[in-house]
Amino acid sequence: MKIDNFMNGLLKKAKSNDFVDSEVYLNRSKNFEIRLYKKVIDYYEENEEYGLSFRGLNKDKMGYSYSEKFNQDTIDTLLDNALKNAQIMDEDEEEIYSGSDQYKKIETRTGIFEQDRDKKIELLKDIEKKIYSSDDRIKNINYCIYADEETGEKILNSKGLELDCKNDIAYIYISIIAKEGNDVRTATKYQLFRDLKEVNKDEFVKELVKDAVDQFGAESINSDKYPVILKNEVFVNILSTFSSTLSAENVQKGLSLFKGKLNKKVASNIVTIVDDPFFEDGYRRTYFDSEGVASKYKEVISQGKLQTYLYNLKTAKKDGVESTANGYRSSHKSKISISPTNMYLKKGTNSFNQLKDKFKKVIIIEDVQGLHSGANPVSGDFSLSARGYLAKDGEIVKPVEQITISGNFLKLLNDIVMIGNDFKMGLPGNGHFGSASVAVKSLDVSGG
Amino acid sequence: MLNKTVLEDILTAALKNGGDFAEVFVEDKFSNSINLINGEIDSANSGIDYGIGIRIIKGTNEIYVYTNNDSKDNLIKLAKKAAKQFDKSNLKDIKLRYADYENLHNIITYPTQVEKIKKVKLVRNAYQAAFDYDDLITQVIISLSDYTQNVQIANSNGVLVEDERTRVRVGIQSVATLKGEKQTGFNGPGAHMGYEYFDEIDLVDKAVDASRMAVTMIKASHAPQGKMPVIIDNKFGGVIFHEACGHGLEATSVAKDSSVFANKIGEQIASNKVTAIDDGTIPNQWGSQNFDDEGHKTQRNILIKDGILKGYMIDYLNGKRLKMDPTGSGRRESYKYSPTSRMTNTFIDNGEHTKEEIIAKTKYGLYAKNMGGGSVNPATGEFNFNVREGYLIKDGEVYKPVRGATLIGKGSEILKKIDLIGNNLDLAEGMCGSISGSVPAGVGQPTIRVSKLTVGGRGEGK
Repeated sequence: MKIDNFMNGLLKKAKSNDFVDSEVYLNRSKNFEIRLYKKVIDYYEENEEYGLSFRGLNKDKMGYSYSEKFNQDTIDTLLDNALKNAQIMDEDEEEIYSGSDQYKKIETRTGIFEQDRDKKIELLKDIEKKIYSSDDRIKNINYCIYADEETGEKILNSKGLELDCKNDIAYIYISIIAKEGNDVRTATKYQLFRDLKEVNKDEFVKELVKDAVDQFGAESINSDKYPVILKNEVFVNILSTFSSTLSAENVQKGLSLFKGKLNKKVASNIVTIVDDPFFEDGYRRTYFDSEGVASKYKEVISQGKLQTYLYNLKTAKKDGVESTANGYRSSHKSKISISPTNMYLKKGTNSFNQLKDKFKKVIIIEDVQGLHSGANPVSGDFSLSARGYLAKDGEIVKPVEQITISGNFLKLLNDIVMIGNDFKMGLPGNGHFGSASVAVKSLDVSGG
Repeated sequence: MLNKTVLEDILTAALKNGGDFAEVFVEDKFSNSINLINGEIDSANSGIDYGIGIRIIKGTNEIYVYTNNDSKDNLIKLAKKAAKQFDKSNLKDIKLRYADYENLHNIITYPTQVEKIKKVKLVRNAYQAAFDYDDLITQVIISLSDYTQNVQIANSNGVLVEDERTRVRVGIQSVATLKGEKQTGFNGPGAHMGYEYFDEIDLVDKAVDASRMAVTMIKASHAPQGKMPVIIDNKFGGVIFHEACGHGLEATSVAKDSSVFANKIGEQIASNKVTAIDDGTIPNQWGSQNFDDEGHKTQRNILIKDGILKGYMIDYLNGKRLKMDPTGSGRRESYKYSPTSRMTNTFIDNGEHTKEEIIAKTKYGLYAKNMGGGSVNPATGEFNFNVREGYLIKDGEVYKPVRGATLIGKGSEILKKIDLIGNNLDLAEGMCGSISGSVPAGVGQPTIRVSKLTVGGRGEGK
């Protein structure tokens, strides 16, 4: 059955099945992935997929269901499941949206998915060759991946709303193993792009290899409080982990550290955190959110002051404000929740060296592990396995491994004393995050 | 599910251009979830995951494609398109035959046989008990999920398997608040069972325990920093073996020489007190199933016996790379993933000490009563994981609760530093993420002591 016919048929039947208002949401994506191992493409993947969600209002309650099967029987199954789910819901304020007055339509697709596949394979082969020839201590490239995808969201509802948006992106992800005697080190690097020409292979390889071999001889250090520089990718990951605390849903449910802090100072004066759905380098570029609300640019934290939470329609109604167009579904299997679009810490003007020169003694954190378990978005506490370098008087003295950095997200935001200009976007997930490197007054470091 | 001739035609088309192995994986899964927060049912969702994955292997090179469209024409077209990546013809006469097996995981009450209102009652009771536990509890979130996944697996070696996996799980998160600070407690019981599971466990007890954890932690001081002996309790404490060693014993990392345990079979890699097992056959256990996602029967695999490395967990493709037989370990989250070697239920076997003895023998250290999750870099063995509920031990006694501890170390080192093993082996449930997606994985161990481990906290050291 054609997917458009299926969607229309579903909406039509919902009307006659006691759903006052209803909506169909479609996720579709095409993806391509190759992995190279010792000059050979040893993994090749190419797919096209669809997933559909239905939600409908029955006796003022919203019922949800989803499917990846699209035949005539599925329409009845979807409606039946949604009805049963609506019946056990408690009262809530979720609504089907009739549409915003204006949408700022932007071009979100670049066509990377259609670019020549041979050139994509060539890119990986070039990079692999350059890595092995750059340093003979590189013994293995355990992941050498190129992937691209084109994703689309479509909303169709009984209030006449019809919206459609497509996005595409490509990335390379390379992980290497370096050995010197019994000393084994790994490093991983990725780059996102929308055109193969954006990849500077030599620079990419140079940075990746340096990151691995510079770790040789790394040791732990004494436990103490230290000033710390969190490299751009590290702060990106921390921001991404704790971004859920800015969701109005978590604030209203008593699960956020930012509860009661609106219009108050929550971070150092140099901290401005932006949520920008139109951001050129962001993967989550879109002109409407998952409820169909027209996208909006906003500063969530402006010069240290908390300006707004992130809202969808339901939480906005509860607080008597307008939705910030952050209604979100991670897929057709999830209900409407809240997520940032492209969220980033505004970069500063200082070079990375200026950050390093600021302290007599500082630990530069290159990588952290364990964010999914060692960071608690409800309490704000984190304790993360880390590695990096110790620098004294602006010079790197030695590589450091097997340490943990511990603190609290709110305190961390207040302790940021300098922000670099080395801005970078991370790998997209639920929201797409970016940051430059940040210098932090003090964190607890545990070592040997 | 697809009919046998259609499967044979797809496999034949897939091998048209010279692959030497082809596989079809069909998945039809029905899931339900209910979430309760603030005392109200906040969301309820149900749905169907449905798709078909086709894999072609030539030598050790792999092609994977999938689709939601199950028409014969589309599937044959897709198989042919995938096959085009190879360039030589290798026609093979494929005859599929259904595998005989004994179902080890009997289901009594299927999720679809239980009225939603009964499921709601189950979560409401748990919520009330958790919320009423203490005035400091300010929020409780309960999620109930269940599914029945039907899979059909066919390959060009003639294997044809149908398997059904029904699982239920509850997540209970309690939040305690004191002086503007928040701490959480969590329990996540689940099984490869239907709703009869809730006759077997007391959900209210589990809910109360999550609140007890949150209240204990809100009153706790910061965990210390530095190296010290660490006692890790049984059940979910087994996550330490899962992270620190289990991932490094998966053929996924061994085959490409990116594990610290590669080429070490027969060598002493752990203290001679350690015996570790991965067992996908334990009836109705969370990580169990009759077959893996490649159509091999799951097995009980001895990984380490008395400290000596005995074997790896091996999937079909990495078995080819290693020239070793598959061990029933090929798993995947769904049809959207090509399978690879994964754990099922992985645990350290019983030793001789009681938990009380182990605590009494420890002069100073950390007692990790409840563990959170963790992760590992298999190439270096560096792991980290988080302690959900910890206590300081002083002079052989549990002294006071401490919060925010993370444990870090290297797998190869920690295995040798396990110096005391308890006699109270028990298992718990988790979700494990890796290259073939997120799969249910059981973990377990008796109470163990590691003589020295780095504890990352924010408090003063000794």
